[in-house]
Amino acid sequence: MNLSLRCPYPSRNRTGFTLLETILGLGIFAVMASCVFLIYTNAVRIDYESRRLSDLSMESYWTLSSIAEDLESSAAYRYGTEGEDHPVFDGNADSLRILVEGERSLQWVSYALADQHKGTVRKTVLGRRLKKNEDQVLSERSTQGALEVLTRVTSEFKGRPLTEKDPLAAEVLTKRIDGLTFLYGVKTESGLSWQKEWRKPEPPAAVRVVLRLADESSRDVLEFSRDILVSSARQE
Amino acid sequence: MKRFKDKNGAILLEALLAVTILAVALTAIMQSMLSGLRAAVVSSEYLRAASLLDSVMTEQFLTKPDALASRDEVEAKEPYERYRYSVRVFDEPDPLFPDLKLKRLETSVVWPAGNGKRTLSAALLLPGIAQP
Repeated sequence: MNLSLRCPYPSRNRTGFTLLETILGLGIFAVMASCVFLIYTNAVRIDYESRRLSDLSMESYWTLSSIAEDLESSAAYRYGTEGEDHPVFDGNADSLRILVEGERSLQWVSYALADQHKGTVRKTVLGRRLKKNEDQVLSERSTQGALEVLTRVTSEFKGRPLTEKDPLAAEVLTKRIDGLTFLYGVKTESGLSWQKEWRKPEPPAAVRVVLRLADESSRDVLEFSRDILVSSARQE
Repeated sequence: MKRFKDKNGAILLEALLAVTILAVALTAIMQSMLSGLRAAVVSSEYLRAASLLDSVMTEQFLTKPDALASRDEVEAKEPYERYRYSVRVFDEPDPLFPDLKLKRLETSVVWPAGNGKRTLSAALLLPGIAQP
């Protein structure tokens, strides 16, 4: 009987695995690897979530602080022509213009929403069956409205009301405004009552800013509200 | 045959060990990221509490000094539903002008966090009003 015909190699060189062993090994490895992959993807998601949350809350707080800083250094200044006072405080439901004491001079500061997306907003939606190269208008945009941009616009005060020809300097505070409301506080016997508009020449006692910032991708919304004392108001 | 078996076992064990070490390391990384998320949540809560505290102090500042009163654990209004605040008012003598009195306002905001509570407090001294 010639054994070498059935097994051409001597047994000491047989270091390979049988099919069963390989399958078993691969199976165990696959299970372990999928666990590891799950942990990894979770870690990445959590990291993203925490960044998004802290970005959103810092941006809200920073925006509120900027508005508060201007309101708290607003100027108690009266000026007028022909015996009539011009307003130094112009407040609407979603915009605000005040006269602020700058480093060297007085300046107009206004907060207003600017339309970020003039024209159509388009974004390719992944994971949906679309025609080749087709963009789809974001569905949440059309139902919820686009996120808006809050700008802070300054202009030098020249002893007269602001005209359209005056040069303006604008900065963008945030691009993720989902809602912005200004309310104007009037002192009453029982505390403060809040109005939606302010049309008087003298400033209100306080301004309430309700700010809602949203994250575009997750549609999470963070809402802040802050009552800010107006320094130029006559505090009795 | 015995030697072959031993060797195979050792390789499988090594593979298991390697994957386990990887899993432990990744779990540690995930734990640190989880604590990062927790920190972000806590910081966001503190920022909201600071905004609320500012609003409470503004309201107190605009209240007439003789109408200021201590309040315990008032529920905050929208959008601070989970937050409660309390105000304590003390009379404090003015060190410079003895006939004037200072009002010391201690405001604190409390909100639930896990099993316990978190608190943010601030004190405000209001200028004295001459009593006629």
